[in-house]
Amino acid sequence: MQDDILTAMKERFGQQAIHIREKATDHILSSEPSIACCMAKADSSGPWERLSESEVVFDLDDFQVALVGPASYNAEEALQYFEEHTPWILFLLEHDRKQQDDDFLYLLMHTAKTLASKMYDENILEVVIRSVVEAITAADTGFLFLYDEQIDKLLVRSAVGFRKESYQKTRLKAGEGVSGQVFANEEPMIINGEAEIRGAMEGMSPANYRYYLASTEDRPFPDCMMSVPLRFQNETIGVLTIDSFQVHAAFTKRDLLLLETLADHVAIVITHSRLYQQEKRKREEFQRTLHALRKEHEMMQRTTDFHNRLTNIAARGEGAEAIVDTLMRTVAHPFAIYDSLLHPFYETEGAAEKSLPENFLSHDRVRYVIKTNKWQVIPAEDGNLIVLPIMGAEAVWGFLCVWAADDQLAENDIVLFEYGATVLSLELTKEEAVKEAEMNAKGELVEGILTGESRETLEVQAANLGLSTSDYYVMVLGRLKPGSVEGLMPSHIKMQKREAVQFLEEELSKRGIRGITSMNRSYIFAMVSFSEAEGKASARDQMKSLVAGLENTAVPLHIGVGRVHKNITNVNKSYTDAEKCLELLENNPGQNVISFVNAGIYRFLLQHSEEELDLFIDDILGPLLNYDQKKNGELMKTLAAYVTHDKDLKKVTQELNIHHNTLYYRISRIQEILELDAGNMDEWFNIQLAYHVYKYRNNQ
Amino acid sequence: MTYSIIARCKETGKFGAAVSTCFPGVGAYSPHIEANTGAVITQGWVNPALGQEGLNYLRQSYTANETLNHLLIKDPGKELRQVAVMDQYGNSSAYTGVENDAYKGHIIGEQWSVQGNILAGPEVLEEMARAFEESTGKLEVRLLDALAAGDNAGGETRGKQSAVIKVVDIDQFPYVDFRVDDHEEPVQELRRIYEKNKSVLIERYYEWVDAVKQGIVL
Repeated sequence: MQDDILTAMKERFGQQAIHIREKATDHILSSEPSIACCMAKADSSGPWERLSESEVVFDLDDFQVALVGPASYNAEEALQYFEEHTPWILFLLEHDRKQQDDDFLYLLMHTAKTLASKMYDENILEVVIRSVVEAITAADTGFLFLYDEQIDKLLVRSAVGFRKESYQKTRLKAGEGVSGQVFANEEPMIINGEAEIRGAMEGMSPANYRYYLASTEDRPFPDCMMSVPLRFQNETIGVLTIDSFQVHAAFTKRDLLLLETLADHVAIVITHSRLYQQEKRKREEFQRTLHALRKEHEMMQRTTDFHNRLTNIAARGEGAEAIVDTLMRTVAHPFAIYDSLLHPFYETEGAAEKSLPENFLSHDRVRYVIKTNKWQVIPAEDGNLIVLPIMGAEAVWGFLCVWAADDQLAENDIVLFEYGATVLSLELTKEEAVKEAEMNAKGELVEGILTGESRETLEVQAANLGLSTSDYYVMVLGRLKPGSVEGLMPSHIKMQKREAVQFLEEELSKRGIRGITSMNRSYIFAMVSFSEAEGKASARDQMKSLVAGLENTAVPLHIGVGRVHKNITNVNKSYTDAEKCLELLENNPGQNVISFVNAGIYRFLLQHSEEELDLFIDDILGPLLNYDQKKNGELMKTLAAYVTHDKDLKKVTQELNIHHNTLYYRISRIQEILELDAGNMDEWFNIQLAYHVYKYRNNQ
Repeated sequence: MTYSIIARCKETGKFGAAVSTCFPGVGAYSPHIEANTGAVITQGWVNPALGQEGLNYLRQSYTANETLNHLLIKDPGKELRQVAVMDQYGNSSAYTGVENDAYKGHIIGEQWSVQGNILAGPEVLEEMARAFEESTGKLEVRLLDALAAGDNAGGETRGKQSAVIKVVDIDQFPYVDFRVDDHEEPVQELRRIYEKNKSVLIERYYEWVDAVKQGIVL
């Protein structure tokens, strides 16, 4: 309707265009908005004024009318026409204003809806500038500046109609250029006219000015621009700057009003979007933290649970096996526990298939474990072997060996293993102390007997250990073979002694023989007792069986066995017998066990002092030994072979690797020197005996 | 043969560390720090490879405890070393190997830990912890205060030679990164270098990063 009326009016006077301007509101109504008019330049000196050949402005009370076109007409008549049609024109203006208000509202709502729907999009800033430029009809380009607190500058975060590679370098200080001024003053600006805009931008830094120019597409400066601050809760967060590069374009107050209204909305959207992004980041951070916390909690829970179980086990005194059992239930890795001599103490099912590296105890890492008492990892083909020390009272008791195919699981469980090994160490130390105390009690009894402690005390002690004083007693003494302990750590030696004690215990228990086993500084011992009622012969028989069993020890042990004696107070006699047997064993490398009753000739020798024996040797063999010494001869050696082979000449020549003539000669020399009558049995026996004594003494 | 502090700023989330030792150029070996990831310090018989391995692990969101266990299980020389780890959540975790020389130890606090060996005594670490807790302001200043407190409390018994301070902010763009490689008073010298140059390097840090990223000049 509005267009029809305007068209009718302009055609009434044969013109190209008609513009009507309401004076009160500055609202303009045009039949052809593209045809410019210069109504504003009219000076209102008369009812009408010709501004140019083609444009006449009619000034009425409430409005101005401009007719534009080359055709001639009667201006007075036109004036009269407009006066007559004043009510219509006012109605038309009001209608158009309302129409524009509706448009304004529609644009606002439409833009607000678009922004709200894209608020959480990552490219919301692009959406903002595009929507704003679209909403303002006269605008074709624009910048969205946001303030960067860290560098205290305004940055172009999105734009329409400018080159990104250039505008993204722009860094405006507050007060710099039009947008900088709007930001600093927090007041909107509207500039129409290219020259004015150019002037307003001259204060920019050369770099920013250059980036701006490089960002423009066709020509450097727009014909009009307006810029508004983006404010949210008393804080200016940025600036919206809108331009139009259309020739003669101009923004109206209404455009500015629309932009300001949009800016308020944009500020909210951007702040909200930032908060959303911030919240999203925080949420992700919380998620990560929560995940980490859960893992830590799980770990802590497992550790605490393990700790509680072990504490309960310790409180109830359930011992090392219960500890190991708990460890097995808590962790999935196969593991085994070995003592310091690598005897297995415990193995999980999976560990049975595993093996320790060769020369484990001399492996660098294991030596380091022993040195530092801290765990080490030995890399292996099918995963790592973690070796944790289990500490005894004085040194490393043994090792907790864990086969960890999965590194990460092992990393999580290492604390549990460390804790398990520590608790196990304490438990084993305790058990060790208890055993020690038991052994000491047994040891004290034996010491008491040997030192002749009072009968009453002995009887009480023996009764406590389940022994009857009037029974038959035998002392069995053991000692680790001298060569077997070389290079061993004290803890290893102790452990071997323990094994020896255990061996004696087992041998007694196998045969149902009573006795107490223990060790002291010098010996591993078993004080064996036999019932008085069964008699001495029975005791001797049982001892024979025991001695035979003792031969089969895997422990590198020398064992001396004394004779059977009646009454506990006589056990010291058996002790002396056993000690003598041990002495003999030192000179007989091939033997492990000597029982005094089976010691043969040595049994007699053991009963004489060394001086007496040496005197006997000197009496019988002295001249021969002196002869050999002076002449550097080999007669003693020949005599030894002669006695050993019981005068078998062939064997003697073979052993000495000499001609039989030489042997005859030597034997006759020996007879001469010793003044020996070879046919005299007594003399020959003396020679034989002296040779055995000589051999015994020399082996000593 | 070193004392050090590792920390995360509660306000800004920045990670930082400062170290002093009686050995030249400590900054080449430790600390290892990465923005938004965490930090690792190795000292004693230092194994710099642990630093990078620790960061790789922390980057996968593992906690300080997990990372420390991971490093220890990989390191046959763990008893010769001190290792301190701080994760992205600000938790720290530390291990002092038994073969470090006395006095040795570590203290773990809220988003910080101090650690050292061959120290004059426990007071070195206690003073560092106190100074850090009482100090206010930027993380780098608090770290320098802690290091100075350790130095004043006797520091390392064998002497002093080098020091380093690092605080990271934006990944790949060094923020505070100063080293003294060989000096009679390395901790004091480190402070001097920081004070002299902070206006150039630190106060315009974000502008510099922005300019570098955009290819513009300041």
